[in-house]
Amino acid sequence: MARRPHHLLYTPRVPLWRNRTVRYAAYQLFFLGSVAWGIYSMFANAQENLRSRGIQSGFSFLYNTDSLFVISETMPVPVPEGGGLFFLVVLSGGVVGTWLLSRWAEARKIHMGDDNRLVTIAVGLLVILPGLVLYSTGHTIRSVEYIVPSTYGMGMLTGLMNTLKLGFFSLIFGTIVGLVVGIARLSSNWLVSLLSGAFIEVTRNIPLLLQIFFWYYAVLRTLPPVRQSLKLDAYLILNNRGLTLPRAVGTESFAPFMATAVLALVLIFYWARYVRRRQNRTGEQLPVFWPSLALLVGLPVVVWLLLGRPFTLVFPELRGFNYFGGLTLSPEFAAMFVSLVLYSGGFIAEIVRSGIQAIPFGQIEAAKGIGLSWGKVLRLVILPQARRLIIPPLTSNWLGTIKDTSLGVAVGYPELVAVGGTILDVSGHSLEVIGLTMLFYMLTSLLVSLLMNWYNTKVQLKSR
Amino acid sequence: MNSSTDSLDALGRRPPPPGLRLGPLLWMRIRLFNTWYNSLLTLGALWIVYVTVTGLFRWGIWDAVFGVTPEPCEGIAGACWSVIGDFWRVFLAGRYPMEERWRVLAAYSLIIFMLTASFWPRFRQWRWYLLVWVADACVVFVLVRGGWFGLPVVGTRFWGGLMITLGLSSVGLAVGIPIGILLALGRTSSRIPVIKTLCVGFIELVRSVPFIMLLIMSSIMLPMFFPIAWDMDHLLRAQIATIMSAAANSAEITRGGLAGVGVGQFEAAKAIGLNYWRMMGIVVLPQALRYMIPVYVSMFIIFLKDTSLVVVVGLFDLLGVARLASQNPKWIGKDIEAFMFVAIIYFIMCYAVSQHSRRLEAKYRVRVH
Repeated sequence: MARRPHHLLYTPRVPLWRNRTVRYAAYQLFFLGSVAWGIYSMFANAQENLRSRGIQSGFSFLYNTDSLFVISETMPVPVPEGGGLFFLVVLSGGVVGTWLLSRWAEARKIHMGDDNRLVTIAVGLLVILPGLVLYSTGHTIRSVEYIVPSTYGMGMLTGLMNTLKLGFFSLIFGTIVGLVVGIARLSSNWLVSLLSGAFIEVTRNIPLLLQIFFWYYAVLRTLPPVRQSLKLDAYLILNNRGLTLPRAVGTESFAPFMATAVLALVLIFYWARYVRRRQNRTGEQLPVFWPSLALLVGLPVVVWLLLGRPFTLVFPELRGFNYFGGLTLSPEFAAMFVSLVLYSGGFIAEIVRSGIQAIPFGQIEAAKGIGLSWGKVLRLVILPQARRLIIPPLTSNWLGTIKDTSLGVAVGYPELVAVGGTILDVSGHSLEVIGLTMLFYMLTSLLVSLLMNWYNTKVQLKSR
Repeated sequence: MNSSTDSLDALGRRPPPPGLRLGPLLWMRIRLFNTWYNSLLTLGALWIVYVTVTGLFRWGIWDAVFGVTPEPCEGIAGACWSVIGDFWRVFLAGRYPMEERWRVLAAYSLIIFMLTASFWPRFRQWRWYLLVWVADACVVFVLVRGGWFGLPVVGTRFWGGLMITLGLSSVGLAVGIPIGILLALGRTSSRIPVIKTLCVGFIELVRSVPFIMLLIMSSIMLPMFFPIAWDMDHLLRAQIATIMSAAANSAEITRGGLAGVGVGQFEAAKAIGLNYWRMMGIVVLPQALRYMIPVYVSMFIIFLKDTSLVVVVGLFDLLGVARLASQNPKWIGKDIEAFMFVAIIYFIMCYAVSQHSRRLEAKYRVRVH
């Protein structure tokens, strides 16, 4: 046997088909090939099927004015042109500017909240400048509303706005309910804890769609017809067409009124910041809550007294078979809203409870030991620590709630999926409509997870 | 055995300190009336409990009518449970033909028998345990669908009620979880970037889209993606949507489980010369899945509830039958009773499973300290 050179002595002879790189590349090529083939053949079939039904694919159908179906709930959507576009540009410029500023500060190893000038610039970019633009050009903003006949694109946009409207209100109220019930679940009061436990178990263990159906068909649909409405004078009218309230219409002093409200918020921000920094520096505590309330109520009230009432109430009138002129909450919206709030409230309560229970009990005992009241224990010791544990599951719950608004399709609330479904039926452009709808949900979940990651890195314990 | 460990219970918890026994009066002082606002809260809560319990009792039992015909329900204040008496077969089996109903009942009994038997630990540890379950599932399928052993075929359009609810969710999970595990493995391996990207894409896509949209997509779009000649069953379409959702969600859960297994386990498995599949199959996945069992059980609850969305694509699951019953001319306006009945069924199923999951969680809890 001939001696091999020393450096080749231990070199294994790997045949090509057992070479790791080659094998992995082959696997992946095969996998990619089969997936690509599958998708291609599916699309080919779809094209074929669509052509046989005589449908042109493409997004141009969104601009054609041939949407003839009625959407029961519409709202004016501001058009991004003229004043609206200007405001949008200034606002997004402000956001980008603030982001750049924070990057700049980070590069200089400055904590942005510590620097008065940077904070002022940020407030100016984010609030003052857009506010001024809105104040001066607000009257030129034009808005459009979905009125038959309209474009399919406008229909999709209306559906989107309805989704956002429902999602926004359900998130806020669901979180409040969840926070209250979650804290009540841990109350020292046995009965209160028991009741919140029952609430949590009932709302969590019954399907959301069943709850929606219950509120819609069993409760709201059984309300009296329009002629026998339940009325609280003219302020509150309840019938099977929904809940009608007076509508607030802004007068000339509405703009200054809102401007002072925003100004009050800015002042409160600065006051709270000053108080916090002063306490850090000297240990002296100044009140925050009452001065803030005084500012928030006082400044707008001064404007009200000087310039007259900022809005007037337009009362609904019974004309023909329905009330007109008021602000109407449809039964569909109400059923969706109530069930989403209760359902997500139950889940959030459980998240809050487990977040609070994860805090070592010694923390609470220590806080009580130094004489803090229960409210202060909750506000200063429990919630700041529980926040880190609560926020991640809470955000995924919020995301779930936004996805759950799509259940509106089952009771005819015209949100994105429902309107998309109608457009899909009417126009036949199923690929495009479903693609757009999916795009919205994916963007939302991407945005929320980005925000969550950003927040997580901020609140996580810094281990040094 | 030393005394400091034998006082711990089976789960490694210390037993509660011995007796601080409160008399009922003192207990009420401490737990209900310790401060003035707690006393107010107690009174308020008592009032709520009183109103709810007496209201439900009067409506549901005292003033209610139990029967099978609509006539006695005229003008009564309470519930009319006759709608359930008339429709309970539909709630159980949908529009399954009358003379074949025994097959559905037999299938239910088989499942209940197997579930009960599974509570017996010796049976769970038996070598053929999983195989028996698979065989049971096959027998159930053959019984319900027919076509073999002289049983006439009953098409899926006659299926409905609890059958669909349970079937869609359990088949969805049984098929979806293995796919999800494969997806999670694909997502966590760094040597195959192309497959990894595809897995991530699938998981994120399916997870970000509402389940109802998956259902609508699979019932409207799926037929479009295949040649016109293929006529896909409606139930199968809904099942595909559940499987996709189960796969994506369980992939995410499994990923969490894989992250919980220490790096040392991977390294040790490689060091003794196991290849990738053996390393995963023998060493890593058994540990990961063990800790993930409670999470999978919670996922089962979510699926049980989410299958109610198939109403939207025209299938009659429990909720669909409730709508059907309350739209029946005989029982018009009896929505509350039908919904209540379905809600109670769901509540019992989900609450039982979630309590079980809690016990499992306590059993499998990883102690990191």
